[in-house]
Amino acid sequence: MSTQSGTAPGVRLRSTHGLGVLCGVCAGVWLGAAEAPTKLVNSGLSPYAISLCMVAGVFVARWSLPTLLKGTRSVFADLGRNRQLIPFAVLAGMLWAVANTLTVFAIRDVGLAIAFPLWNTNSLVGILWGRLLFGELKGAGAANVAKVLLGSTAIVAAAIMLGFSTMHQQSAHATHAVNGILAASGASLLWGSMYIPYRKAYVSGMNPLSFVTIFTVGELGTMLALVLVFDGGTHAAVFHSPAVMPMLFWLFLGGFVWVIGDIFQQFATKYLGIGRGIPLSNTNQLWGLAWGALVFGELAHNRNSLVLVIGGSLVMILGAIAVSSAIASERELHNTNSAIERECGRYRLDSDAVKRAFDGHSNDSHKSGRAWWDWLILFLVTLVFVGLAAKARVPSMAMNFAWTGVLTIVLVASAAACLWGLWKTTRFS
Amino acid sequence: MKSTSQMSPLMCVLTDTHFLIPLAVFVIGLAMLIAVH
Repeated sequence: MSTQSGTAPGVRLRSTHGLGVLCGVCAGVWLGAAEAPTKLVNSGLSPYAISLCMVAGVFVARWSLPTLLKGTRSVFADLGRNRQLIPFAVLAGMLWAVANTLTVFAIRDVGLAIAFPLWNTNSLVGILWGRLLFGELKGAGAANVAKVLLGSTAIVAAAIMLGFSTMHQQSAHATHAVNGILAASGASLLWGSMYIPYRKAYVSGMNPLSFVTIFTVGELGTMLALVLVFDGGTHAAVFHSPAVMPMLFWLFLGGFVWVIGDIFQQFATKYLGIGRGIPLSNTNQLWGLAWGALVFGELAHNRNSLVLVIGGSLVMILGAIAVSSAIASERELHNTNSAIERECGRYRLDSDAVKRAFDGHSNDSHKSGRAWWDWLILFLVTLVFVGLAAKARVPSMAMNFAWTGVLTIVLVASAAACLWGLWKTTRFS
Repeated sequence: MKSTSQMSPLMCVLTDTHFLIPLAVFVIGLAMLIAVH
């Protein structure tokens, strides 16, 4: 395979950087689109119930997509080689679930206008951890540091502008203001710290597809525990309400789309690091707004926000360009190699194999093809989706189908480009 | 103090700052959730 060997280090570095940028941008497209199916859900159920249903869909997708791309033999072989990383992946899923729940309380107590900017600083928290724990940006030139920091800050600022453009009413409740700010800050801290296990896994040579398979166990388990503790235990409406079944398809679909975006985000974290990968995937706000405004007409009665939309979009694109153009120098790469060596020393890993995996070369043996049960898993998942679709209720809601078509084409084209790039350069490693 | 090469894999994880920091953040987050619920 010409793409797997015989490539000069500098050329390889640039190709994996380009691949990481493609994955980060594509993650933004898919994570933003994940909001669209959930807009069709209007059940009156609690946020815990909605989150649990969506995470159940995420769980299904997280087991089926890696099966489709690599096969369970490859995933389990990778997990077997990296058993020490399983607790890290579970912990990352637990962090996600608690952070997601905190945002619900933040919105309740201070409104989206205050809560959103606070938790959206998670990428800046991630940059700090990347620098402190993995030597990211260490040894980078002043220009690259400026590009990453200013670009990331611009993306946060743009996300805030776009968030404000879609807010129709602000309902901050002064009496709970401290609680709300606490919850939003907590979500930022948790989501920012969730990238520590991500990066840890990839500097140890783990495949992102294996990581997400275990991540989702922590995610679903914690979400289930939160429903049982905070939402009525076994009597919670999500387990009994007849309103659940008709909306389950849309939540599963939202979860499925979200997982595709998250897989691209994981590959971006692997090939760019936390500091560059996360700000790029945080451009999802732009795509979420595109679906809301163009398909669901959310800005139709709010023409005054056009300046915020255009300004926010431009700032976000400029920020993404700045981050994308900060290619790691040899000195910075040397520090990343030191982080890899440290992991290999600590866990007695084969440093050559880990470096090969980190560079996107596969460590799979020739036996790692797909097994019959892989096809069975994919068949069962398809059956679940067909079954849920048959019972889904289509809400009477005004939608622009022309824009739905256009954005779906963008979605599919971006995924096709990204999957082709991942396959050609790394064979999904 | 034991070097990591003498520790079991589980002890390596439990003494790894890359595990302990997110774990501490998770505990803080859970405490925040209980406080704001």
